[in-house]
Amino acid sequence: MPGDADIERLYDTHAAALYAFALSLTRDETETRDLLQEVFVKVARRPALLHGVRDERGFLLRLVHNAAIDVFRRRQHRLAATERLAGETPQVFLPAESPDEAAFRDALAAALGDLPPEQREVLHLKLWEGLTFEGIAETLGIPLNTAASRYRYGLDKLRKRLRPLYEELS
Amino acid sequence: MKPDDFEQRLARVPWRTPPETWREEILEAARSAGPTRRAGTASGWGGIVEGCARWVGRVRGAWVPWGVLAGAWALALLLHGLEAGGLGEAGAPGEGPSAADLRPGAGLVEAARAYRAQVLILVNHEEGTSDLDLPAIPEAPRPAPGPRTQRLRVPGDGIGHGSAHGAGWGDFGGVALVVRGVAPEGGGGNAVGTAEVEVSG
Repeated sequence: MPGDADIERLYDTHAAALYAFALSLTRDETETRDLLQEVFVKVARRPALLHGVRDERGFLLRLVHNAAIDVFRRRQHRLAATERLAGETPQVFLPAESPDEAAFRDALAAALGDLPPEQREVLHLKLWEGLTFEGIAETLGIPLNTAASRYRYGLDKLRKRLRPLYEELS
Repeated sequence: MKPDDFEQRLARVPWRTPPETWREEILEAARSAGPTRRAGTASGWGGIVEGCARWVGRVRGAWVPWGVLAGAWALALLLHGLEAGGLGEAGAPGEGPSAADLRPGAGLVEAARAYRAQVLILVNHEEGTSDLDLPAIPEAPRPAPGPRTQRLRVPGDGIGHGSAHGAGWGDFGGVALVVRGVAPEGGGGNAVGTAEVEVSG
């Protein structure tokens, strides 16, 4: 049964990745914090959830994904919040020293924000978590082909939008 | 699928990390919601369900507790079957037990009565006395008598009798039965004798 030390280890090992994934999904700092806390409280309350789990990271990412779905449902009842979020580009990446790199990161953040959440989460898991399509399909509970097609569509959109900046930086 | 340069370029962009202050806040919330602190607050059906879930989670994959549980169930079923079997014998052959025979404890009373009779026989054989203070067995619940036309009329008293010296007799509907115990010559107290049975009528 995981105790306090195990919860701390889980946090220190996975919190950064869970934070990035949750921020990618919600695009909102407050909701990201709530998601993160919800996941760790859930694991602390029901330690048996982690029994027999081989891939802790994948399991915790799935918990974040499920919690984010609830957030999206709640958002549908809060039109004002949705409009506010749509008009903002949150700071999701670390600040860059170079102005060109900073511009690229801002453009990437904005482009990611314009993607549908289902494409954005697949892109995040593939690009920044390094999961395979099998792993993504398992984490999100979707068919393998769906994961692959969502990734392809999302990446094509990013490519079109960021090509000028990318070629300039290259 | 091998990532192209564009994908690799995207993957190198670092995400922000959670603020340092979150760690203690979130861990504190997780600790306060831990199972050891919540155990005292659970009550009623919620507490029972939660306790069962915790127990199942704890013994999942451990064979000994499951074996003990299965053994307890098997023992309960066995005892239940034995008692039901004893009740079934009390009824007439080819018929199920009557409602009166199915009363709880009827089979146990019969078993106790048989055990007492065996003890008496052994004592008579070994010591030649029956002055033992054995506990009395309560009367087994008897079924209510049926209509007179269905009763079996038996000329004899239908009761077996026994002596303190290993002999028994009875009159069962005109058939006389006499049983005599014969001790072996030169046998000691634990010697096994024979029995002579005489049937007439």
